[in-house]
This record gives sequence, structure tokens and C-alpha cells, in this order.
Amino acid sequence: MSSSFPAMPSPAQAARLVLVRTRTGVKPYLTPWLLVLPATLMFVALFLLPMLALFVSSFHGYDPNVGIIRVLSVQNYVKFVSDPYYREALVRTLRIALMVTILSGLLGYPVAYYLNQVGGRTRTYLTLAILSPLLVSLVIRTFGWLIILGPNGVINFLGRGLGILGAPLKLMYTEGAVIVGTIHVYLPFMVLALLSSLQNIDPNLYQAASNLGADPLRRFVHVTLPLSLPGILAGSLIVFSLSVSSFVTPAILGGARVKVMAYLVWEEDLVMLNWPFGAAIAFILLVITIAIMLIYHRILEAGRYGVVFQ
Amino acid sequence: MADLQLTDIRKIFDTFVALRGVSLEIARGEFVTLLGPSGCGKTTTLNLIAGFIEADGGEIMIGGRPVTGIPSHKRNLGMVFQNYALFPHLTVFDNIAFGLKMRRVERAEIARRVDRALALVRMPGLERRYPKQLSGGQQQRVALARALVIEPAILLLDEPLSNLDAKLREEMRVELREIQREVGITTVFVTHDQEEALVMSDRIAVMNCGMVEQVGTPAEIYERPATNFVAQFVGESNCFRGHVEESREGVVVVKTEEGLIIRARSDRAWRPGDRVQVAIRPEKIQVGESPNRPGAIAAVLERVLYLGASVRCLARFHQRKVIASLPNVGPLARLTVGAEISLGWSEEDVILLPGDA
Repeated sequence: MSSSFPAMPSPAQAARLVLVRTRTGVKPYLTPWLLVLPATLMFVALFLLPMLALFVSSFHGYDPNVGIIRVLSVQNYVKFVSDPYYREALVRTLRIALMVTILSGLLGYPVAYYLNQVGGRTRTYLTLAILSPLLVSLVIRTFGWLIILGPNGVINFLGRGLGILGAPLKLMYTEGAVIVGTIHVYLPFMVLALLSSLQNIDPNLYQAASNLGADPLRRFVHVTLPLSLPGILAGSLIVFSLSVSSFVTPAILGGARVKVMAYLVWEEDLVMLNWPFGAAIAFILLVITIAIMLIYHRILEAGRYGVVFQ
Repeated sequence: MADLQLTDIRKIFDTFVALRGVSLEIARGEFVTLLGPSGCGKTTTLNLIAGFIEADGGEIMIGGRPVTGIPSHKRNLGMVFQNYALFPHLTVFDNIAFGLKMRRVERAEIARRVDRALALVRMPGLERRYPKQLSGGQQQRVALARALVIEPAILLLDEPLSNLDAKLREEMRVELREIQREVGITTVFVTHDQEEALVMSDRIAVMNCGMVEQVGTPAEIYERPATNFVAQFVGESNCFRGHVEESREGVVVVKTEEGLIIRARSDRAWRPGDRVQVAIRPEKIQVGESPNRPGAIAAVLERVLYLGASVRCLARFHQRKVIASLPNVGPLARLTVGAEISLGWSEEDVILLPGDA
């Protein structure tokens, strides 16, 4: 009696079960677990455990003369909340990430919409063109913006040469520069997320809407836009979470004048050597980001067109 | 006056000629079916009427007015799509109300008319459901209600029954037609299903290769097909090639390639020597037990297919297969495979068609 089998497997199923057993010597119900085991181990060892260690260390103290003091207190968190310098950096980070998300959505939607209209080879080439920024190193791309935005960069050079600008514009080391540079990096993610949701819309729905009296604008507002909400959600979650934690672009284009959370963490860890406080900053950012994403998701799901997320 | 009039409509997609001059007149309240195999241009015709694509030639008149250049959203037509094309993000109520909202009808009026439309398609009480919570049959009723609620000039149906299972499809044929009569709306129905076309239509336009082969009532199409294609596509035929031997006072004598003499009735003027095809429907053939019956041909019974309501006999005559269909009445035992039988028909059941060349 082999009671380990579920009731009466079909011959094909039985053959498969026997095959797995004889070849690997493990019980078939273990197979899925074994398949995900390597990835799970890596995730636990390289992400979950370090995060846990980081979380614990965020409650430790620090003295410049002694180093890390292994106590447990919330003083790091209190320090962050009570000092406007840190609070401002948090607000600035969220503001930049929000602007980047909104602007990539606005810039990316028409591109995705157009890509969805064109077919075949054109779409392949255009998709490749959109992905091309990702083929160049982040640092090189960002230095490119330096050449454009710098005091003697392309914009100022042309502006003054053509007599449009009197004094050079200060473009570098501003929030604007950080926003522009970050959009450049993450726009492809937004476009691809939007494109995949637009591709899922049945083209007959446009004809149906048109047949029922909707002009192109109302067709977009009442059919295309609501049905692309999953893409808007996915795209903005990806772009927001990437830009809220981005470091290289704000560091190069914003520098010490536009300090974001990731920059503060780097500063605490590598300049001040205050690792516990750096850990606390990292955790504050993580928790707030997750909270914002969850709330955003909930709002969209509870909204009028929540059914499109099911 | 024709409610919908197509005059010499032409449409070319890149290098493919989809329509080569389609003309059709449909009267108010009439239910006309475009019937044909896939690729015959029936759906293209429907899309042209709907305004989803523009014709390359010819004119479409709706209610006596040409609609060339008028975009689909201003044509006031109702359409039911093959896959229903219900808006997945809207409830049943909002789906049906969509067209009314686009027309800026006031809210109380919308609610009243949606209620009435749901009652019309016999489906009240599901207003708050979403399309994916409905069965195929229910989705189809919602699609119909959505198309009718805007009181369109013409109702366009693009194979709306083809996604339903057989039983439901037969029920819906009758019901769809009842609803159409109730509303009295001019309807263009597209299908490749000949039975559906015969059951539902006032008139059928049989299409092939971008042209209308014949327009007529179901009985005309079936009993008097005008072309070889119609005879083959609508129902089954036993076809014989041959030439006219003699034609006098509406009776035509044809000699087939097998040497068989077949008499047919025809209003058309045939001349001796004309190449013709003779078609006889399987159910018009009488099967006799003895091979020697005057006016009948002798054949060998090769197979008997039992279909329940009817029996199909496959017989061989001069290396040719002849199909006869008999109603299932009386004992079947007399049909012995391998036996010699006689096949007969009356001359008014013989269909005479022009030959290929």
C-alpha cells in the first residue's frame, strides 16, 4: 500500500511521480520546495540576515572616541526626528522621488501609447532605443548631464552665445538637475510597465467605445486610461522605489547641496563612521517608502476602477 | 426606401482586394445576413458600415444620407462583437449606460433606459456585476442591451453567437430574432454558419471573394441558388457537369459527362451546347429498393450513416459518389450495404447552374 500518493493518480501522473522518486530519491511533494531552496537560501543569507543585523545596529549608540556602543535605545531615531536638517533631507528625498515618478509617468505615457500603436519592426527598434540608456553605465550617463547642465555646459554656452542669457544659469547642484538626471535613468522602466498594460487591452474595446459614441479623447479617458491603471501602478511603484533610494545621480548632480537620504547614509557610514545612525536613516527611509507604496496601492484598488487590479 | 444602401463598395488592404464592388439594399426593419466563408469580405463590409475603416470606392448611405467621412462615433450605430467587447472595468449597468453617457443623457433617464434594456434582453437584476462574473450567454445579452439602448439607426452583429455552446446558440437564434422584431430595428448580421443564416434572416447575401454572389430569402437561396458557389456553400449538393441537349418551354434536357440524361426546369434561356452544372440536394433524392425503376438511375449503396433524425446514404454511380438523405421513418433494414438501389428525383428539384467555361 502506497498511502503517500493522492487518490488514484492517472497513469501519466503515476509515471511522473515514480520517475521523480527513482531518479532523485526524494518524495515528489518535496520537489517544489527543493526547487526554490537555493534562491531562498541566498535571499535569507545575503538580504534578510544583513537587514536584521542592520535593524539591530540602528538601536546601538556611537561615540567618536569609543566607536559603536552596544546598547539598545531609540536615540538614533529621536535624533533624526528632532533635527530639522535630517527631516528636510527626508522631505526633499520624497519630493524628488514623487516629481520623478509623476514626470516619468507624464513623459512615458505618450511614448508607451505610441509604441502600442506601431507594429512589428518599428516597435522593436523603438523599444531598443528606449532601453538604450540602460546599456550605458549609470556614472557615465550622469556625467553626461554635467556637460549639459554645467556653468560652461551646453545650455549656458548656447544661451549666452545666442544672447538669450546674460549671466550663466545655475543648473548644477539643484533639485531640478537631480530630478532630470533621475528621470533619464528610470524612464525606461515606466515606459515598459505602461506598454505591457496597454498591450493587454482588447482592441475591440476601442471600436466598441467609438461605436457607442465616444470621440478619441473620451475613448482615452473612459477606456484606455482606466484599463492601463495596472501599468501606471507598476511603473510608478518601480520608479518611486528606485528613485527614493538612488544615490549616484543625486550625489553627482546634487552633491552636498541637494542631500538625499541615501547621501546621508553614505555620509554617516563613511565620513562620520556613525554606522548605527546610518542604519537608522536607512530604516526610516525603508519603512516610509513601504508605507507610501502600500497606501498608494490601496487607494487605487479602492477607487472606482479597482476591479482592473483583480 | 432603403434604410441602408451600399453601392459598389470597394476596399483594398495593401495588396489584398477585400471587396470588389459590393452593392446591397436593406429596408427598414429588415434582418439581413452576410453569409460567407472566412476571408469573403463580410466582416470588412460590416466594419465599413460601422465606420471603423473607410472604403476605397463606392458609397454607403444610412437613412438616405451618405456617411463617407463621418467617423464611427457620430454614425449612431449599435454593434455586438464576436467576443462581446464588454468593458472589463465597468459594471453591467455602466457598460450599458456607456453610450448614453457619451450622448450626455441625464442620470435619471439613463437609469430608466438601462432598466428597460435589461428587461428587453431578459436579464434584470445583474446591474452591479462585472463582465467577468457573467456567463458567455449573459455577456452576450449585456452586449446586445448596450447596443440597443442607444436606439441606433442600424444594429450590426458580428458573429455574436459563435462563442456560445450549441444548445445556447440555438436558443439565442430565436431570441435574438424576437428581440429584433420587438424593437423593429434594421439589422445586419454576419456569420459563416449557413444554418444560422437560414433560420434567422429575412434575406441572405451570400458573399465570396469580396463579392455578393446572390441576395435572396432563405428559401430562394437554398432552393434556387444562382451560382455554383452558393449551391455548394449553402447546404449540400450532388453536382453533375454536362451540356444542354435541348431547351423547350422551360424544360431543359442536360446530358452529363457520365452520359446521364437529366431534365430540369429553368426560366433562363439556354441554348443547346451550353456548358452547365446540375445540382440536386441530397434530401430531394428518393431511394428505391429495386435497381430498375423507370426514370431513376441504378446505383450501388456503399455506406449508410445514421444521424438520428435522418439517414445518409452514400451510393456509387459510374465511379461517382451520390449522397441521398432520408428522413428516419419506417424500417431501415431494407438499406443493405452493397445492394443495388435506384436513385430518383423530380425535375422541379433539379438546380441548373451555368458551367465553368
